[in-house]
Amino acid sequence: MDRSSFKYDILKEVFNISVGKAADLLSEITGKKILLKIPDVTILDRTTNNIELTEYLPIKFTGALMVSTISFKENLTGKANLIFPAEKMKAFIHLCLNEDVHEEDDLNFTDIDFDVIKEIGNIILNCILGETGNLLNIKLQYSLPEVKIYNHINFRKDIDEKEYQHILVLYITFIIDSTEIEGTIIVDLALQSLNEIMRKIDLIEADIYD
Amino acid sequence: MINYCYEVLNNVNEGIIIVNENFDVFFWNSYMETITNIKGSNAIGSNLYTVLPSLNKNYFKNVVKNILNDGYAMFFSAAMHQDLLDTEERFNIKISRIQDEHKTSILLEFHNVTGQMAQIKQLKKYIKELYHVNKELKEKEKEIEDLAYYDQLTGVANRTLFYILAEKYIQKAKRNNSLLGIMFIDIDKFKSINDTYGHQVGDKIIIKAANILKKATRETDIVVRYGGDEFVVILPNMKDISDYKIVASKINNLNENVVYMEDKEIKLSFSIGISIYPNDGDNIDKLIVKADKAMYIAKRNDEDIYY
Repeated sequence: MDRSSFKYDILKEVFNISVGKAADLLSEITGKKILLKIPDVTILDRTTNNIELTEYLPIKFTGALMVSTISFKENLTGKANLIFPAEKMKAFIHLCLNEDVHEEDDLNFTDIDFDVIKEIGNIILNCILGETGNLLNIKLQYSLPEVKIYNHINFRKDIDEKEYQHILVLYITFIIDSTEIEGTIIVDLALQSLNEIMRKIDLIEADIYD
Repeated sequence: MINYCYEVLNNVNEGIIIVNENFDVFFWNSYMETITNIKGSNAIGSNLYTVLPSLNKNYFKNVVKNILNDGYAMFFSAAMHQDLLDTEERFNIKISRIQDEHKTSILLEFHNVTGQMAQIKQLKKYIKELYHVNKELKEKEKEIEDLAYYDQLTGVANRTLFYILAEKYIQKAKRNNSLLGIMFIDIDKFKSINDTYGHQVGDKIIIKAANILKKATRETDIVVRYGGDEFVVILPNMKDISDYKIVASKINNLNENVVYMEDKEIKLSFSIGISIYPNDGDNIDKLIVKADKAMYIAKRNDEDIYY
């Protein structure tokens, strides 16, 4: 799909609405103003190109990574991975919990931190998958996310699932208290699932032109 | 079978509430009775938000409505939602939809994490204390190191550190086939200054001398107070023998000849002797002896520098 095409714009707008809802919910829960930059989208096709997934992560993602993963089935099949650099995730947690940062703080994550990440991942991924499903009229079945920490090397092995032919990469940035938290969502999709999404977008496009 | 399932849920170690599509409670387990002090018989049949008014928040109600409509699960962490349950204890809450052909319900699970959170808080307190103890220890270590290796009056390296560094740089010069310079510097007529103006002024002259040498030398050069009124400068990374002249000329330019100290006019001048590895010796003792002799020749000849 040509990046300049209208379909990309529709897809971007769908994600903009859904990530916006996630930002609103997080704002309400934390009592903080959480803003969002308009997300960017890329679709990667493994069937025609040899894709090295880590090349599509932002350059800043060189240290430890926090990954929340949801698997979905029924009308669409695939996996969604929400990825934040561990350092930024720590900052996100401090901001959400209204905690001061102390000089003795480091990048070790406690059980409480993991619970908070699980919730943040749940909110963001639920909003994206749920709202996208609603807007495109596709029902999805999925459970709570699993949270793991990866370094760059084992991220490549564990997240980059070659069984899925198509990958949707969504770049999101939240702004909390003037701190920018950049994350990436990687959605691995089976071919039929991507086709289903594109078919729904075609219907939206047709509605607009009618 | 249903009673059996309810009995199982009554025995699990977490709070379980099941509500119907109108959010009316139809199951409230024993653990829930314990954590809320609300009997099941009082809760069942009533609206969830009436029984637990602390849940009556817009975002919570919207999320539960969405779960009812769309079927995805939601997780609320105890850390982010301290006020969702009106108790001293802390709970993670999981909410999901249960659906069969007959009915749709919402399952709320309350998992007690009070102990975990208290433990983590305790651990964080210990970490903070350890961190500060460690920080103090490191500061003390640095103080001790400074006392051992640095001259207390001028702050430059002392003789002990000189020999450690000089050995290191000689080995490096040997490996790289490069030059290493040693400057031996003496304050002219220092004994006379001390005797005339007193030790306090003498100390200030020593400090002034050290500052001149620090300013005149390159970043990689090392200024050492060798003892009394004697200084040594180690010149690693010399590309040519004549490089010492650049440092020497800077020392002379910064040397004001007359120093005013507490309205006294004191003449300050240096005598400098040079030796260079490998030409003048292959170990630090030989180089020091050579540089020291050169310094005396400079002094005797009333020259600033001798090589």
